[in-house]
Amino acid sequence: MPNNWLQIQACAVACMWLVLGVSDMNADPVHAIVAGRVVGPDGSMLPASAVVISNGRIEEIVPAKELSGSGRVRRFPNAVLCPGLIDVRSSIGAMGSNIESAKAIDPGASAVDVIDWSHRDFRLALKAGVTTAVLAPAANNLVSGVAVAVKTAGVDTSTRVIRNDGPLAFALGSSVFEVDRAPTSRTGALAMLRGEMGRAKQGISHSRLNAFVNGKLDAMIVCEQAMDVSAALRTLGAYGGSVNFIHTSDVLDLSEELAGTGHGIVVGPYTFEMGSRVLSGAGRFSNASVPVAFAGDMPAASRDSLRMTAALAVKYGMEPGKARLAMTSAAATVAGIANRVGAIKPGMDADLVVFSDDPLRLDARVLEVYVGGQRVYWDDGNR
Amino acid sequence: MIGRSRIHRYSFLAVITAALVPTINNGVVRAQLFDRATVIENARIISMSGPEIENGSVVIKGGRIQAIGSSVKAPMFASKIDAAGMVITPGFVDAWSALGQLRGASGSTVTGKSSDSFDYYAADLFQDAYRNGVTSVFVAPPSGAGVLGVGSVIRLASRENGGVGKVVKEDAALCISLGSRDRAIQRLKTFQKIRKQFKAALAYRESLEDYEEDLKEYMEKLEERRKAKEKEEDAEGEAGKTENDESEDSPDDSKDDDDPPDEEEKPKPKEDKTISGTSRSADSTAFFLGDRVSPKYALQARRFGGEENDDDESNETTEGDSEEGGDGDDEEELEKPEKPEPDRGSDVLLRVIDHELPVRIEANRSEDIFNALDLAEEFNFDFTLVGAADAYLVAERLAEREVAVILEPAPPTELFRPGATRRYSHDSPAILAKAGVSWIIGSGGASSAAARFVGLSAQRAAGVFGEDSWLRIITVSTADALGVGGQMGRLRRGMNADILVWSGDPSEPSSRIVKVYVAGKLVFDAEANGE
Repeated sequence: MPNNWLQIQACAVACMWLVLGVSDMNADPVHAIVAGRVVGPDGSMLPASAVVISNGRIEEIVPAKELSGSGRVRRFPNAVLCPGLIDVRSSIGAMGSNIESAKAIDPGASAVDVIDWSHRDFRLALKAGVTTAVLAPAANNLVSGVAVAVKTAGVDTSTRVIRNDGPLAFALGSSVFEVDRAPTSRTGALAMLRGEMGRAKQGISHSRLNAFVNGKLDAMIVCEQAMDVSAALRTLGAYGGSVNFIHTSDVLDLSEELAGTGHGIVVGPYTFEMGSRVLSGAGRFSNASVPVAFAGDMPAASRDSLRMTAALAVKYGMEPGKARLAMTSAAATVAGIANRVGAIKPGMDADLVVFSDDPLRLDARVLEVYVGGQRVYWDDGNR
Repeated sequence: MIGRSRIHRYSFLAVITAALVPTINNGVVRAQLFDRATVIENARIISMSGPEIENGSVVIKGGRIQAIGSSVKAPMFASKIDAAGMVITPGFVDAWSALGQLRGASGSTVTGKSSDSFDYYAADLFQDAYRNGVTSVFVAPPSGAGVLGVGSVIRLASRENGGVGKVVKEDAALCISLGSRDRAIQRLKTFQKIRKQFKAALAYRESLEDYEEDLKEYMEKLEERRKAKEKEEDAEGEAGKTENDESEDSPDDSKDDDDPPDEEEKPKPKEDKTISGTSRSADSTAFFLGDRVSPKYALQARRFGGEENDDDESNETTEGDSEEGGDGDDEEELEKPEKPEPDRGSDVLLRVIDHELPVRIEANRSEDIFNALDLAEEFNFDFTLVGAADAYLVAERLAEREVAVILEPAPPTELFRPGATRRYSHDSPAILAKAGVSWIIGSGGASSAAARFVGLSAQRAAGVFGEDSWLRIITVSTADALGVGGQMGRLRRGMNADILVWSGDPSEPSSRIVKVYVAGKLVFDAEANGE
């Protein structure tokens, strides 16, 4: 399994780094981070706790007073320790155009090919507390290709890729219609999609589509309008291990339709320009027990767009705990990387952000950011 | 004599009306007649005027805060609201807002007023503003380049038939934009145009002063002639006949800036002699230099270069006049000086120059900010810088000149922006504060929808700043900066009751605004809305 191989690699690099003490600023590796409050796996705030880090992973979480063992301990009695934020739909680090429009069904495409690993956006994202970015090929093809989940910091590219084989990205809406290739209409698009799913069912389509219809590959479906979500639900909803929809504007119409289906929804980024109908979507879904994750769409949106989305969602009816999850573990679930990142619990990568306060508060600052247990950004107060 | 007594009668009526109208319209009187007091009890009160009150009450009556504090007794018959566990703060004031601005409202005139293009009946918009705590806004004139017009402070108080908005301060500030969204050459032109307008205003003032001098001289000459004529007539033995007529033509009126009513009776100069036919027929709404002022004064305006040359001018005119009428020739016709065409645009700019009207200059790029500083120096006025994406780059200069800054929210994207905000820094609030530049935040003049989130914008800016002060920024600081600190931004006895009732600490994400009172009236009630 590629995932395991990556994990092994990550471990190997982390060990090497530990032995050699590569980094000048962190010659002494962090043993534990103690914070006044910690965002727990269910999104709620845990009281003062110590997160013990070992080999780039979270070893255990203990009440602050019970911390034992030797090593460097970072203490933030007034701050909040949060899992590194995950932008589940972004173009962070993408260079140039990734719009491939030759064929409408292009499962072979992968977003990993457009990443510039030293792009300045990675630095901006880190400053905003975003430690994982999920990039998908542009949503202008019915089957756009596979998304890739990468860390915004790390020693080398192999350790930065969390997952490069999915989820499989679909798109529905007028952006997939072209004048010089099929589909040219919504009807055509759905007909084409059903045809391809039928072929996949017989095992004669692309291996990724075959895997998808057999429930072995998860998917995220970018939908322009509410009706595209409904259509996708009818056409693709029955397949796949996990199918999540990406849609922001008309979510209010969909909460009942999606409730109970098990499918999740990705909304955002929310902006100050949006109407209350749009902004209350996230709250409506999460109150209907539909899993909600936020898309930050950095750098097309502002660097703090994830937190803005969360703050606006909470203002318009979302529970704060759910909003914290939507930036972290719910996003990891959508991207299929919840085994690695998105929550502070034993065995997870030590991708952590120290906020001066609740990350849902827009006046909370990012004080320090850790990726794989290594401090990769800190606020030196020098502006 | 008849005319005067009629005026008296009218003014008597006017006095009665003036006395009656406020009595009827006055919120206090009306409230005392019809309203009963509202008391919000057991609340934590962040009044922004004195320390926090852990457990206190606010009494609202007649649109105002009748009492506030921890040991306030509720008046009889007051309707009581138990706010245990809730928090009370002043309503938010937005320092630079496009809320309620009608789409496509065209601005860019000195005499324009943003209160004229405010949509008082955008009910949904205002409900959403209340929900997010906004109770008053400085409505900037529609964005553009040049002198945009006068911005007003509008309280989102309810009006009849579901409307919202009461103008608190109509002339809050003259707004100027150096057009930072335009290209370099266009921005330069805009700046030069604004400078010209200011120069023209000064020239206009000078022409008015000259006119008054000329008029005085003219009146004196008239008087001389009359006396001379009287003497002649005396000599002929027909004295005392014209005395009554004179008194009506009293020269005192000439000192008035406004047209004296009896001016019409005076002899008018001949059109053909003054060649001013074209200028007078010009559209009076255009405020271009030459169009407004009669050619004689326009000439002076053109010559005007900043130095004081009143004396020369008056000498010249005296010479000119004495040449014509020096011999005391009875047949020579005296030419009455022509009053310059009224120039309301210049009047506005003169109020700026006289420090009667605050100025806000929207400039984002550093070069535009320098231009703004130059403009203020040349015409000796103080201003507040708006937008100010590059302000952090020139923070020392701004601190030195004591220019305050109204920041706008961060640009919506991190992608390269070639325009005015290309060097925007998220750190600028901190950099400005460190340099000693005082700043507040406005929701920005670009979007009516975004205006309701000024609270979040302030919170976002305060996060960079690193101080728990976001609430202060959009209440007291903004109200004081707008010159309406005595009317909003704080909760204090006697002030208008613009009150937010929060379900918990305003900084906590889970806290909601449950009730909003504007001018003492409940305008938003989350419970009643089923939220």
